[in-house]
Amino acid sequence: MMKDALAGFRCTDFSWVFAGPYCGQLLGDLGMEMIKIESRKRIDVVRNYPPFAHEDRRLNSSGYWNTHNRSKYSVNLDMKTEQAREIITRLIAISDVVLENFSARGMKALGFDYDRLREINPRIVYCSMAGFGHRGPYKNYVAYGPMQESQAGIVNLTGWPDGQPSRVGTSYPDAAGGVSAAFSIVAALRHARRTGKGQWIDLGQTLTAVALTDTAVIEYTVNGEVQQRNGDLHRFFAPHNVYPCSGEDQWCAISVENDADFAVLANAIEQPDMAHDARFATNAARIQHRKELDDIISAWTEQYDHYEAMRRLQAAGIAAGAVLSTGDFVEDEHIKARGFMESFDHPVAGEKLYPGVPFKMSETPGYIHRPAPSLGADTQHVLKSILGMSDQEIKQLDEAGVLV
Amino acid sequence: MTGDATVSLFGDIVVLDLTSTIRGMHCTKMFGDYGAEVILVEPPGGSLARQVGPFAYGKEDPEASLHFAHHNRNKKSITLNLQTPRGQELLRELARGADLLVEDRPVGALAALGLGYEQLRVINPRLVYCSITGFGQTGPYASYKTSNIVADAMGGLMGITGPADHPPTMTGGQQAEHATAMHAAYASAAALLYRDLHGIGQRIDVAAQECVANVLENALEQYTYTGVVRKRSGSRHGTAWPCTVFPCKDGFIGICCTQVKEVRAAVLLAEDMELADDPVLQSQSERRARADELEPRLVAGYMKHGKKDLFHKGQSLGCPIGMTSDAYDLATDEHLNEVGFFAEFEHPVIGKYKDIAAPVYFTGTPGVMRSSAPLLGQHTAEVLGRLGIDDAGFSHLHADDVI
Repeated sequence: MMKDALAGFRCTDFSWVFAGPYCGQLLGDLGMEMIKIESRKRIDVVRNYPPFAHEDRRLNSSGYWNTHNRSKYSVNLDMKTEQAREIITRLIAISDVVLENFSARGMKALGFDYDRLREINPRIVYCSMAGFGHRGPYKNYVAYGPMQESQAGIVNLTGWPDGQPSRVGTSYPDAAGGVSAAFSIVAALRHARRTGKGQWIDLGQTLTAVALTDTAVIEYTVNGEVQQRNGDLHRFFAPHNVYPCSGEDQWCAISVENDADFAVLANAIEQPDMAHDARFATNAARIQHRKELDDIISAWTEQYDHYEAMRRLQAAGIAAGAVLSTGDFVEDEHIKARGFMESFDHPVAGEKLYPGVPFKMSETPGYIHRPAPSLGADTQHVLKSILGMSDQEIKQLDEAGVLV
Repeated sequence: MTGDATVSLFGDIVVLDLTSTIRGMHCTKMFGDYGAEVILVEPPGGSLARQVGPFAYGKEDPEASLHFAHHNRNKKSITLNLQTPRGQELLRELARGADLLVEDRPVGALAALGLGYEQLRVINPRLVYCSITGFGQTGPYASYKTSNIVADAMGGLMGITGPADHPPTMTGGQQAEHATAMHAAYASAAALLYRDLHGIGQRIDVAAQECVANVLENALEQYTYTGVVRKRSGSRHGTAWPCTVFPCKDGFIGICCTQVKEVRAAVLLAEDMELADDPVLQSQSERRARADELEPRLVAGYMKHGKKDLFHKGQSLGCPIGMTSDAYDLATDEHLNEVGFFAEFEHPVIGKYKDIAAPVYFTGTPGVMRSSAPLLGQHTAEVLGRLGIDDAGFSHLHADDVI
């Protein structure tokens, strides 16, 4: 039996869409017991988001939902009913964590704001993930990841100087907020264990994304400079770009940060004289002659496919990486050797591969504990085994329309 | 402020920081911002991060790197030459009293100096030892070099970011590095919790390539479920509409609508009353399919107004809209300023400045900005003094190029 870093901790999870569920995925994969509260009357929209395992897009066949909700239980409860709120109260009393990513009004509307939560359980660690947090002038503004990345300043730094700024190819602030929440929750659990005190973690997803804008703010406040997007170039180093390779839309990223590495690169691309060429001998000169430099490197990379260019350069000791498509990534020999993609057999979606845990822990290896649950699949289990309800009680709740 | 163990989240934690890249420094910053004592171990010549711009006032001084300052506030700096036996010995002594060690060196580099996990666990079995590399400690690429753009490429994010008629696009602000750092911090915090409960530390092997791949939302599943390899296609979201970046009078805005009432708000914001009542808005797949035709109508309306006005007016209508903020917009944003998102720092070389503080508000144990980034070796005497080294000892260490 593998040991779990977060064994023995329980989370009542109201989260949905991407940010909260990604947090829960990280917690669940390290062994926290995740109890996700759902309802047929309020289906997580991502259960209806592609990709689907079946063309008819049937319920429980979304790969998007199934990846972020593995290692969790799903309980159906109609939160509009008094009985459901009683069940939630009992669950919170025996939970360590409550997680949600509603708007700042959401939990209050359900009757479970922080004042109520700590009344039920003073040691509870409550993590809210509203778009702008629960304080300040924008606290009631609606915010989803794909526009948070604009507001947060990441979009403006992404893309090409000759065109529009570009969204990231993923709803990045959701993922960043999710991992930030997981870190925060675990830190607060440690604190609760040491001091006996729970607390409310008021995480604003837009804020956690702004915190990832690197030196943008400090460069403005100190130097008055407003950073601009610069495609794939690095302001302070050259070469730094993606270079075309022989196949269609194949590219190899290369970055060199000092003169010694540049001499190595020059040899690797069979242009040893470049290291002594006044146009390229120093980093400052290379920045000035970027275009000529990139043309020379491209002439070399174009002879090889993206993997071959990477292998040749890495063999010489240069930071180079093939721009992997999603297909390349899943089939990549290194990813396979690391066992990063894990498979599970899902009752509706069948056996599929999913990204696993992006780090390895020697004592408590994280792993996908169970397939993503079908909607409400664990209602009986949670009510019976965790809350100790009798079959009779559960039957009455079911007949009263609470377990939908 | 001190790291009071009762009011500070990590007030009881000592972190040995052997990092010099964002994937390492941002990880240890997350502990330092919430009270941990983070001891940054620099070579006598200083961390390589001190050589990286931008620099304050354009002055290429290792003490004026804003890159270094941003990623190392709340940390202490000691110098230690780990190439010398005495330097290695002192690091082992420090590891004896540390809770977490974070390092971002090539695979095997620290083990070759007698400072690998297997060597340090003997001294301190409670130590959590987190190694952050491009590709992990094992596998065919373990020895490969990495950088932000390499991890962005190899993690699959670059290939799906940016316009179709441009090369794959790097995500701005060094996101491959930051994504890796945050996952490393999560794993480290979980290992510390486990350590508290069970008395045993462990080794964490973080791979930047995998951390980047983990934030791809549903792109890998699109391949494993349907065999479809996603192509980059600009800013438009694959399912929702409108969900993209639009130009406006003085810049750009980001909008992302999933519900009909939000879509209608986006249309009303563009003052297109005819479109607001068009039945096409009712169906997500239909309106997404007609994006080419409908978007110019929205742009026509948005071009009449500035991003800030559109942001506030759009939000008042219930439209999920953000400005495409630049650094000026962020630094002057009323919300960020009001909630204490920024802090004032004072640095002996850079002077007084404002920068991002701890972003997550822990109501019981808020993050505290205790100090700006340290000068090189500022805390060598304080930290090594704890090991019982006296003045004569320090003279020897200097003379022998250990510190």
